[in-house]
Amino acid sequence: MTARFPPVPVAVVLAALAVLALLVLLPLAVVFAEVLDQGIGRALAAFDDPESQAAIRLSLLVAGISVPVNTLGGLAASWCIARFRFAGRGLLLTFVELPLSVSPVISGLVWVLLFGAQGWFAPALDRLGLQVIFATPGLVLATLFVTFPYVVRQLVPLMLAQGSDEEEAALTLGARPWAMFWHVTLPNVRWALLQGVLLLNARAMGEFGAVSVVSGRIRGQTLTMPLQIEALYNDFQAPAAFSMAALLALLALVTLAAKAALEWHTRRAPDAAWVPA
Amino acid sequence: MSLALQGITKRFGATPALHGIDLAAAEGEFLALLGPSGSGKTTLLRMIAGLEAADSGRVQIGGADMAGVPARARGVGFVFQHYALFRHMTVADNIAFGLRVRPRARRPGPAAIRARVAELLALVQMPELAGRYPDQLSGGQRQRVALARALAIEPRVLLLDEPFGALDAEVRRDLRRWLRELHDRTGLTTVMVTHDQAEALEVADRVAIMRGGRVEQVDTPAGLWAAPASAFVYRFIGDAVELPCAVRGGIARFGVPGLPDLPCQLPDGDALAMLRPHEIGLAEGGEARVRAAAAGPSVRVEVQAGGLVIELLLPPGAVPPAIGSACRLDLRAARFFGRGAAQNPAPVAMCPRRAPCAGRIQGSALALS
Amino acid sequence: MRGVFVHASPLPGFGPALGLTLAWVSVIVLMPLAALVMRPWSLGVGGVLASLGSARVLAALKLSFGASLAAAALTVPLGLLVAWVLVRGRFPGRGLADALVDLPLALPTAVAGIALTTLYAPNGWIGGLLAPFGVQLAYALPGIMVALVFAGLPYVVRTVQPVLMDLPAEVEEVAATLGARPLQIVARVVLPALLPALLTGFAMAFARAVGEYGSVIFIAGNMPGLTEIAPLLIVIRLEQFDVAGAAVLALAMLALSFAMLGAVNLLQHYLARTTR
Repeated sequence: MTARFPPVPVAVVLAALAVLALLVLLPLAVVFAEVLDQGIGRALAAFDDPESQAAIRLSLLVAGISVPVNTLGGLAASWCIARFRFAGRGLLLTFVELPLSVSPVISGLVWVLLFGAQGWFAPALDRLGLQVIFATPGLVLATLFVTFPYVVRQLVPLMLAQGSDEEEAALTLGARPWAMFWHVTLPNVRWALLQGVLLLNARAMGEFGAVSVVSGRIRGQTLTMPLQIEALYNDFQAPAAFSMAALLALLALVTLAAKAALEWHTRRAPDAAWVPA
Repeated sequence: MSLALQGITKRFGATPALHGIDLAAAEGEFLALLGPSGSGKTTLLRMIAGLEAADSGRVQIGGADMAGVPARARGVGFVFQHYALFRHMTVADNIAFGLRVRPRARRPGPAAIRARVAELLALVQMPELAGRYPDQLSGGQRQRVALARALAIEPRVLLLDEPFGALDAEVRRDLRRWLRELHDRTGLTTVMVTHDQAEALEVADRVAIMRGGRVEQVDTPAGLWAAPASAFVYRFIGDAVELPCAVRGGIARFGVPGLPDLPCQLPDGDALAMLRPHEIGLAEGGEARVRAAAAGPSVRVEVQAGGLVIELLLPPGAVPPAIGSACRLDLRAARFFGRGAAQNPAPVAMCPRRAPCAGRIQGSALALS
Repeated sequence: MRGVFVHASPLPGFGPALGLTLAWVSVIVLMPLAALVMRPWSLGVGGVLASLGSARVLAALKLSFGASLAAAALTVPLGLLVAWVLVRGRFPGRGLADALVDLPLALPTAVAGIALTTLYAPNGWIGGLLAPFGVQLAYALPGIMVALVFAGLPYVVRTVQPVLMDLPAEVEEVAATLGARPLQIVARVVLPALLPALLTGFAMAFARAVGEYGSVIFIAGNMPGLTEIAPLLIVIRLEQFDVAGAAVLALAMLALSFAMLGAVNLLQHYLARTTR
């Protein structure tokens, strides 16, 4: 950043801050205000509800599966796309990023088309007695779809910028493939990878539209935290809804703080690369 | 270990990069691959290391064919142009890397590794920098770490890809000298790619001049100076003055006022006479004109002769001639190269009396620095 | 495998990595999307058109796309303002403000949904201020617009910021030495340079707004034909077991979105060519 520009007029700065405050800060403040309004004690009591506890467990489970699967897949895809040139590479990258352009509702719908009552695999599922839609597997699949590209989006630009010299050097020094990955490739991308994982996790736990479609909303069984919030809110249990919302808002804040810390650590500007879609 | 390349060809897509390269380096020899960008020299180097595959031809290290042998099994040390140090490891860890990734059977113990790292740091004269990270080092220091890292694995051949390309001129000169001493001490067969002719001629035992994917000439630096095989080689290894001429009956005529005729052994036809700037003398009176004269370590004079502008160097201490004064040029030595394929196998040198000298060529003083 | 390569590489692991990648992409992305592309046609072309032709569908599509276009257009100047101040302003708390920009991306849409509704409802902090003037924000179009602008703001800011940061100061300094006043420099030198980024930001905000669900359904009111967004209609059709109908609408949404984004892309190419 240079100090060569004439300073931005105070009025302009205030206008921008007003926009941010109005649009972004206020909604966040409302969530915590509602919680504080009811008192911390009553807010925490909302989590004694077994259905809410089940929702939290389910969210953790779904995220707990989505994060490793999409991280591993993301690593493999990034390795192919960033380090090799092959026919169809651009197409592959487009497909990897496709979920970002798809509405969350559609991201859930596609799984109903495959595994729902009239879906492609419905007969097979019936025979095996498996339930995907309106059950946890459906939630996981929908979440996998919407969080698909997060790791790839972080890693590919970085790996392209870094080039493969260090990895080639490792090879000439006698390193076998896994030694090269472990000692050279992964350490060089670890912060970007961590950022990708953090964002993946935040999205996995906060996803609403896609899981809402596949969920069936069976209370105590197929409601993740966001769905539980909706259920409570529509049930006129706004305080309990806001308690859970505050928990997710805290997670969002922690994610943002960690992201900012990682960016500062790697001294990169906040870039558009992580912006979904 | 000795190194041999036979018939190496390579195409990138539709573009040919190497056309049947044959090259060899004896054990302990320092070979430089010199040429402009795009000549294929880095590709060739990477093939020796196993980082590129040839379309056809053989790479032999120590007499063994390297076909199918991956980079990690070839025992070559490779120093990259931009060092490629592992940015998240300290200097010591970088150097130790090659030893630590060896299979258990061949891996030295931690103490042995530490000792070897210390030894190498002493060799590259950086013992106090063991705990630093690459981004805390200067370019020259990084290059020496890269070298130490490559030497740690006791390679059979050392390969350097434009090792000093990204450094200041002065750092380059120091490192050049240091590299040569290192080579003399270790006795490793070394191949270095560079586009800097001064560097190649100073450091290497033999230099291979490459252009457009072909080897134009391989010889010692002295040999390249004394007997350049083509106009390209002549031009590449030093400043050259080029004078087109027409040869008839053993006489080359420049067709330009102020330049004398010279005897020439080439067959009749067009030819190119090439001289070094200090091989041209200036005499008063004649049909050429002095265009510019600048004093300095040597006196640089620009002369207009007909349609040609010729630059020559007078010895230090000579009096710069007046601008505009009439003069004529004294061509003391010249190599003739025929246009097209016809090359002059026995270049003609001129004695001061402007008659072909008998016996050996008396070249001008070679400037190898 | 070799024949597939454009350029053989000494780096290992291509085969296994590609295999894993293709399996992962096929199962999680390609297969579901294939189902989406194929399912509507079980109704036959006539059935598809009928399914799309109902007034309710048309109203929903008009609302979703119209409101998204308008919201994205509104988000651009707001996002530009914020990006400008973040890059060129000097004030305490700038880092905090910068981190805050990403909140709409990190905050779960359901949380944003109930928060915005509470804020703009007639008894909310902002809704309450405007209610005496007869202005209704929640459960009406303005509420939808607010939610869409909230969702799209980070896209514009984060797309403009890097470009603004990389603008060489020399160009503006030259303009100043040639006599241009600050506002002129902004209008004639800086903004044209930012135009591609603004367009990209617009496109991304639009794409997000069209598909937005969680932030909107709480504040929208969801009255068919009036404040019902297209994604909600898809959900409703599913709940009525009209799976094919839901797929038809979804495919139509995707096609329209891609068409619009394609148009923006073309505009960007045209811009890039004419500003050479």
